[in-house]
Amino acid sequence: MVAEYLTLLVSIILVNNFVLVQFLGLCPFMGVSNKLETAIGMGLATTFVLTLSSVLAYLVYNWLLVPLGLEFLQTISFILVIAVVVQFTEMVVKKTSPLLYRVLGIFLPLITTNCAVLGVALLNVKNNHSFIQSFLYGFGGAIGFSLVLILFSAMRERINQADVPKPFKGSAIGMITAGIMALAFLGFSGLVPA
Amino acid sequence: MAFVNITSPHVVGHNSVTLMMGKVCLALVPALVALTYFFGWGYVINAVLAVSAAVFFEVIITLLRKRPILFAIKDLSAVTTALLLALAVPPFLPWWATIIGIFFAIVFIKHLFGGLGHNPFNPAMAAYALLLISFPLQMTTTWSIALTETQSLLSFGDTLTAIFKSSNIDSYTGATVLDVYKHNVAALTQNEITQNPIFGSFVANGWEWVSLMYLLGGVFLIWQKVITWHTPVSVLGGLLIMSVLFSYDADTSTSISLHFLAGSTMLGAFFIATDPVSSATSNLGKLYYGVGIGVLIYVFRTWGPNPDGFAFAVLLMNFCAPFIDHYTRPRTYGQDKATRGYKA
Amino acid sequence: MSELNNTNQQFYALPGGVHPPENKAQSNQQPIQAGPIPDELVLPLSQHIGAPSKVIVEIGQKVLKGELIARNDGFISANIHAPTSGTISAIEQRPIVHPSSMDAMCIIIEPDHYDTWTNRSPILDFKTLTNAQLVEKIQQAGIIGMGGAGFPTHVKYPTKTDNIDTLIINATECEPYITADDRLMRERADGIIKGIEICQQILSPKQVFIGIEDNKPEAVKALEAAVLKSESNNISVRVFPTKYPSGGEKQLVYILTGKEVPKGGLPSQVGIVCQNIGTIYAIYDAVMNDNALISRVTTVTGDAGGELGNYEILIGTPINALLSHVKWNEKSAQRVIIGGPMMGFTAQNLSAPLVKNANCLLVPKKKELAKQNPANPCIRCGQCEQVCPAGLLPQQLHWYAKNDDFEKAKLANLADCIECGACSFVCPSQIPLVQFYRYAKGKIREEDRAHAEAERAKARFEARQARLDIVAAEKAEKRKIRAEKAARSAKAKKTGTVPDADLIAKARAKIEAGKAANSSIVAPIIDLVSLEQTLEKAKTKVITTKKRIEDSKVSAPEMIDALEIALGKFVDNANKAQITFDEAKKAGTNTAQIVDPKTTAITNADNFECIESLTAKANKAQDKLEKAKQRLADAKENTPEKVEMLTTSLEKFSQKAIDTQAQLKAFTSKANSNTKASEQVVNQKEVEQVDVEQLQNAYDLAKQKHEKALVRLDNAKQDKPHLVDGLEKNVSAFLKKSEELKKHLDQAVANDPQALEKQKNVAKQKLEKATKKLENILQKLEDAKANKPDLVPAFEKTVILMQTQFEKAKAAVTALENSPITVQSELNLSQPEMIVEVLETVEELQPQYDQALQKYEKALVRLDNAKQDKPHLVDGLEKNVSAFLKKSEDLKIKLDQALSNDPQAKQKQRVILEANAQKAQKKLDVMLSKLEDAKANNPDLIPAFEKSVKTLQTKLDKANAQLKEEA
Repeated sequence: MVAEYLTLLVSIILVNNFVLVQFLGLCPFMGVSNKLETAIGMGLATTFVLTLSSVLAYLVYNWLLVPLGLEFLQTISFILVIAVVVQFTEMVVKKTSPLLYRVLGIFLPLITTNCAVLGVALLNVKNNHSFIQSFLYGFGGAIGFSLVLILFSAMRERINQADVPKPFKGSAIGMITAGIMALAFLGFSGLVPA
Repeated sequence: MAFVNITSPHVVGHNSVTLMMGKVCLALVPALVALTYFFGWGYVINAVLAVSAAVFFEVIITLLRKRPILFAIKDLSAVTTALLLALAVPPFLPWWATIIGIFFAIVFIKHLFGGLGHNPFNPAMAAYALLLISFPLQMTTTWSIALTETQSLLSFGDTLTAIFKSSNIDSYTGATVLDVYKHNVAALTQNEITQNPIFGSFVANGWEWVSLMYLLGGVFLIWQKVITWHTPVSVLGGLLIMSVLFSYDADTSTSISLHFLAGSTMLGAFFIATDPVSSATSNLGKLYYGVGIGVLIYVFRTWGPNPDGFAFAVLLMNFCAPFIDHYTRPRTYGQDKATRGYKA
Repeated sequence: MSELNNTNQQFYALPGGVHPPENKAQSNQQPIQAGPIPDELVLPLSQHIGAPSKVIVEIGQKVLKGELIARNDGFISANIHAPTSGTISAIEQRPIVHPSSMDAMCIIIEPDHYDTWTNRSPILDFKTLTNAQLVEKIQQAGIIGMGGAGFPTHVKYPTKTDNIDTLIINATECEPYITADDRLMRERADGIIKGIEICQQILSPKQVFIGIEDNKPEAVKALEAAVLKSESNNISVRVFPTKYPSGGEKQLVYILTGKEVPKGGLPSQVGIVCQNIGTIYAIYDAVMNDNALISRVTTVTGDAGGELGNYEILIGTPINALLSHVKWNEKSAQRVIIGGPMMGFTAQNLSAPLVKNANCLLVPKKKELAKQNPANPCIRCGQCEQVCPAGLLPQQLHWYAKNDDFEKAKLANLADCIECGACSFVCPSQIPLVQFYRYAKGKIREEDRAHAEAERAKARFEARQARLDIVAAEKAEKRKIRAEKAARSAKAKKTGTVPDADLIAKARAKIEAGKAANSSIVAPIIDLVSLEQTLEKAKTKVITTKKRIEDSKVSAPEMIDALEIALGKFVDNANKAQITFDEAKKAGTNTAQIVDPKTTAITNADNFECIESLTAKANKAQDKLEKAKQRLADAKENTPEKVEMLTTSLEKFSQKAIDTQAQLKAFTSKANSNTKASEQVVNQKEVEQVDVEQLQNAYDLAKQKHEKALVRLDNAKQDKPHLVDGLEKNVSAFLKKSEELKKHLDQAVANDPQALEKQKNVAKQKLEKATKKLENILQKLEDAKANKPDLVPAFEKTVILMQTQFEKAKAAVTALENSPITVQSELNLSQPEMIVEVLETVEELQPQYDQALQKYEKALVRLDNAKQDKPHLVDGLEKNVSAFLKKSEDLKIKLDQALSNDPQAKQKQRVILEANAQKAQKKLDVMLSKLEDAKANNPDLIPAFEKSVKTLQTKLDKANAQLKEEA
């Protein structure tokens, strides 16, 4: 049981990492990763949003849509759930840490459009996850996202000070770095049997 | 008369990058000799090919960036990278794969990120990973079988043909030791597996000597203060811990000695993980870094699809290295505690 | 005899460190030789850390060896002494040895080569001196740290020495090439140990360590021998392996004791004092031999240095003097380094002097010191980190310094770098690391300074904002208080309670002051009635105040005090009034006593003033009553819950209205009675004491008042109809009074033979006054034109006014001179418009008549307009119309008279009429042209212009008609 959940976690954090393997959620990944502090803040916010929306999406799907036979409404209802959660998160962040709120700026509401969030909800449906599995899926996905985001921002700080050729400075070399990291993460593939 | 106006210090040591890189290359020579002895000319040819391609690409890029060429070539860093890659890939790898790998390493990983000293990833390992992902067939089927009483080696001319013309050399290629063990461990016991001729009398035929040569070269480097002991020891230590924890029973998983003496463990621990540009900076950071690599090597070997995933392990830890640096700053004289993290 | 006790203690290995080639053998073979006496000695005033010394000698003064020539300036400063006997030849800017190669103030001594010492008093036993005396001696001798930095030594010996437990003597001399301390130890070990004992006495540490590297075995031996000879038993010679930079103070403290000096702190914080061994010898020399610090041992080394070795040079020896003394190889020298190869700096100007902390002169040949190749990029090999003695990450520091990332550099403790050069010594890429750190440190210093400035500016700004806020808050407070007071008073008025007694007193005082100003000369007539009035008022005041006190006891207790004070005053007043009234009564109703004319004037004027204010009050009350009635009606319709409240307030208002009306009636009757009384008095008195002048003045005053009242009435008729009644009564009252006074005046004039004279006097007085006023105002105008140009128009207006008054006065005087009888009453000079002036000449009469006619016509027009939309003004305007008509008719009569009198009248008249016609014509022409322009350019002005054209046309016609009429 525990091993199964552990496998699921490992799978979603490393093997099927949302950013580097499934290529979801690249916008905040590239946009917020210039400084380490903002990356950590963003990671926390996304974790909160992802976990909560994954659980809520599961509940909405299984307790509302399925009994009413409205499965075709899943995309729209998930988006609604995500928007609500993000708004709630935004309010919480604004109250607790105005500095973080200011620093994150537009990227906080942009979590709504983070395809990883919607992806988690839809993948939960597709894979017929149970409640615990959905929760772990969301939480693990967020952990994977945050992990990669934080590591990438530390790397980005270093690359920003390197002698990169002028045409590649800025986001270009960031994208290339992300690509090489994705290459590295391919080593995890097959680690966990699908 | 006019005197030179320089500020202190006025004395510099006689160290230079060329010297350092030269020592690294020198340390690789015994291993190269052992490899050639046991596995044929493939490694030498690959080495020559890789080095020439590397220098060529480096010249092109330096010209494009309008920097002095000789100054760039002189520091032997491209040579070292090429040599390391040549020693990592299978001996019969087609020439174009080697060239592609070198191109990727020199142009993309090294110069695109800023040149010497700026690359965040290990060029050789990134190239290896690229080749493994892109050409899995070539990367897995061109390993040479070691020299034994029964197995002979290909001649020099034939090796050249094999590399450049991809001729059929099936009788000389085979799976690596780790590969064989891994694929059979589920079904057979250790004794049964080691009946396979490639295992030889000790651990793995030929591979133990090669590993030993790598070890000697690494010790030489530590003695010459080219590298410190932190990274190699921590890599081996990590691997040791993991294999003790999970591989105590040789019947169910690869044995510890095999882990250490087969494959590219020693190469990785002493030469690849210690690449200073892409590893962590402080001594404590190097320890974490090395342990991470060791653990990941074990994970990839045991549960991953690839038989030898140390390239990915190194790349992943390269990725983590800047983050490790933030949190492993050493304590300065006069401080009570080191300043860790990104805030004062 | 003490024992060697340096065997058991361990040393702590210095982290990092490098081993550059030592190169000490070139210069430590031969003993210390004497240095030269150069041709001139240059002594910078700032050879030490701290404030530069103050010069106490003059140019041309002869000094002896060891004589004080510059005194310390403050605590952290040092003395400077003359190194040899000679003359002060100059005190000027000279190049000094410093990496910046800047000039500094120096004392230049020209030696006389006799080398005569000043008076010295050596002692035999330092133990006889107290600690303070020892420190004093150290300070007098001008001893500073001779190992490099140059910190004044006496500062290191604090008055409280109970927390120092280790004295460390730095004999390490870790830098290559330098051997000065080595030879010093070998040759003068006894003196050194004596010096240590002196320091021991001052500090009384538990132990003394002499830290020395193991590449100086002979020195170790010498020191050990000397230690054995000494009496103190806690000196130990600690030998440790040679490594650069173990000689750094912080590093040595760690090596010998394992303690670390806290970041940004001093060794004394961990109970340690560190001294260089050369300084110790200087202390010995100063205390025992009374030798000031005037010489030091300096190594001359390097392949191009000539005769290498150690020389005891005089402080202030120029570099080239020493170099020529050692016969250096100028041609093959590549550079001249002051100090060692790791931390020394190159000398720019060889005439710069060697100072107290210059321990080495290194003159290498071209290939002797390894050339630094062009730098490769940093390959992050970590060698630098391995050798850094301060435990830093030099490659990260270099990375941050290169990218100007000073925040991260500070985070990585850049400030702890001691710039020893070990990192750049081992760097494979041969990067000039120390130079990067110096650059970064400089930038950080600059940024911190700018930041501190910004913080100060911000603090100033915030303080200013705070101050402004406080001022604004105070103002708001005051405003609030005032508003509250006003609200309270308004509320009090509404509800019937009395406002603040202070305010009343103030208002009273104001009114009285104003009245006093107004009434300059008044009739000293006292009437019993007014006295009675005053008495009654006083009594009522007392009663009301008492009542108010009762009220306030209930509702506003804070006012009781003020009210009681007021009550006291009012009681006094009432008593006074009573007394005066009684006396007046006693004296008889008819005989008037000349009491203070002001009061009577006040009372008289009071009446009329009071009338006005009372009228105003009555009218206001009436207004409020109307409004309240309306509000009640509204409320009855819409908001029934307010009805009750409004009814009560309505009652209050009606009561108030009734009250005020009653007051007004009472006052008017009183005023009338007063006037009557005053008239009576006047009538009665005219026989006895009536004075023409006074009557004249009174009459003038009355006339003025009448005119003013008329004006006010007119104004009121237009916009304050409720005041009209009261004002009309005023007007009639004043008119009556003035007429009465006129009668009396005429009578008086008739009775008084000297009336005319008196009248003339009065007129002359008035003329004088007017002249004075005019002069005054002209003066003011001149001033304004000079200094305050914006006041000029106002002054000009006043000037015009004064001028008219002056002319009128003049005219009156001349009139009096000319025709005595008829002009008696008409001396009123104030209102030029409405007074019918006595004019005889046609030239004057004709325009007057025209004007009057115009006014009549205008009034007619206004009356017509008013009949349509302002019916309340109709009466007043009708009166106006009749008045103007009357005036014009009068003038016409006069004009005719004048015309008949004047033979040339007709001609004059004709002239005037023609002039009028011409004027009209001109105006019309101008207007027509303007109209043409407008038609061309500004079509929107056309209607206005057409109107003006019409009016001017009518005027012209009139003028022509007049002309024809007269013709």
